[in-house]
Amino acid sequence: MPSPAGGFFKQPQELKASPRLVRTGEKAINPAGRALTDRGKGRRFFPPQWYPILWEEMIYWRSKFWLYLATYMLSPLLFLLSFGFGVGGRLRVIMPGGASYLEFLVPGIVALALFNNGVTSVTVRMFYTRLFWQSFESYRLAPVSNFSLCLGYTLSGAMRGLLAGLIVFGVAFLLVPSLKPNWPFGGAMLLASFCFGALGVLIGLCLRSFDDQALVSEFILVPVTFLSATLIPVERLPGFLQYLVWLFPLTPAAELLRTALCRKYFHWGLATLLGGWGVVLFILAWVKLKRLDS
Amino acid sequence: MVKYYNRVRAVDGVSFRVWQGEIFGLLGPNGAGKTTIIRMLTTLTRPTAGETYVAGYPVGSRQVEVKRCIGVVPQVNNLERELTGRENLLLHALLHRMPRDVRERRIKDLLAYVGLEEWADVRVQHYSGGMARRLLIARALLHQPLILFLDEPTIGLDPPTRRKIWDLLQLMNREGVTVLLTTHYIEEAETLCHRVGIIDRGRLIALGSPAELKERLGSYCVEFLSARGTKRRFFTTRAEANAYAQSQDVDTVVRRTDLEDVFVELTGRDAGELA
Repeated sequence: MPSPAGGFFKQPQELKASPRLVRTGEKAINPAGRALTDRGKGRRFFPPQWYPILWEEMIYWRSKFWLYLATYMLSPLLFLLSFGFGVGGRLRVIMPGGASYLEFLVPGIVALALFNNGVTSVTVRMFYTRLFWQSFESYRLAPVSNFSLCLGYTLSGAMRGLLAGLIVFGVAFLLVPSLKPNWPFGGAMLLASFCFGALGVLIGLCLRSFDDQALVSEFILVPVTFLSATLIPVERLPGFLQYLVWLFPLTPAAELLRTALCRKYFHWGLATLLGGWGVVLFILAWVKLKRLDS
Repeated sequence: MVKYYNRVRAVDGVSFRVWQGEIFGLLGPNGAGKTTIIRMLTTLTRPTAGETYVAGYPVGSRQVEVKRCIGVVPQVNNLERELTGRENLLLHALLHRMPRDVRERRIKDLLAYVGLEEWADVRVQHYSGGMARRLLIARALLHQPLILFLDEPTIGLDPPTRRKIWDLLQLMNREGVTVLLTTHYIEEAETLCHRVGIIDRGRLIALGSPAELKERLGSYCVEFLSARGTKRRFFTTRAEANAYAQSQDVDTVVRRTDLEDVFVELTGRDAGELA
């Protein structure tokens, strides 16, 4: 059979060391094994395809849990001490309706913890595994659908965000015992963490260099952090910003957490807006992953 | 297969077939397009044009089936450095949805197979290059692939470790695993491969067994130094080579042709340019 290069193909039996094509049945007789024969016995339960990504995340938790705990506690404590207890007592005047700034601040800081840790953890993980260590390729080479891959990373970001949010709320609860957790607040945390996990995956897939990472931090994370109803009420922002900030997913997340925690009420309008953001960001990340080439 | 990166043609109409059970090598200098070919065959890169089939499945439309049939050892160490060797294998087994009893048995067997039992519970960041390479091979074999792709499997390894990897590859091949590897080490291609495709500037310029390729050029080589560098002449028989050598005024060496000669003649470049 002529080859495109002008040579010819040898039949397998002519090879200098013809392989033995041995079927080994249920049990492999050799570690190299025959392909796809070792299936084990009986019907099995298989975890979902996205599970290994969460499993890997939990391995990191196991080895670095105390580091995570300390890191997640530090910045909310600083915010609470400086903004809440430091200048917060004098800020009653800027609160709409004269509400307590501390009550305003705690859900905002929880939203910030969900946002910063949910987005950053998955973005950094994707950045390093995709561009630096290239271990992301081992996921892409596995028989896992792009949807499951995207969902796995989104959930790992959501888990990290949730862990941070719970730690922050725990610290805030110790300092402000009047703010008691409730089911709407839990639901709002779950919804927000999923949304931010998806945003993290999207950003992680778009990054192409260290410079991109710095740009994302300066032009997305920092403005969103300070303008999205976390530290300052939307009503106190300059005119056009009051409308612009609703284009950031953190704004409905902070407001949803606030209504749930302070008014013990699940605001379905805000939840729909946040859920919409989550779906849009997840689909964008999924499409980006499908189009990923090299 | 054709692949463009922007306007640069990285792979220029390469077409070949690999038989089940053989070790097939793509030999060529750095930047020749070998890695791009491997990436297209393993679903990581989409070809600009052309169709590729792996284990009978079209790579473009049946990616999940293709991924089930292949194991890939990349050029760089892409193991999870924070995880131990055993955890890396377990992660791979979970991704391939292997049943618990099968994965536990195979992880144990493979760690022994590549000689990493004692290092199984050490984080990969503490592994040497050779150990990481062996773990990469174990990981690629874990789900019992039909075809193993290796991109420069021994690059940067010392000679003893390189030979260990060669032994490992030949052992696997004897058990029925088809191997497709890229290399720019001529000795590696000559030692391991049943057939070799020589790639240069994105094109497949020769294809055949090392013996065939050498035979095509002439089994014997007369080498001598002239004012314009080393010259080589190739002859079918030793008698012809000796006769030519004796007719020369300068010192000559008569030897058997090797794959390096084939590469130099086909590409018009010295083998030193391979690396």
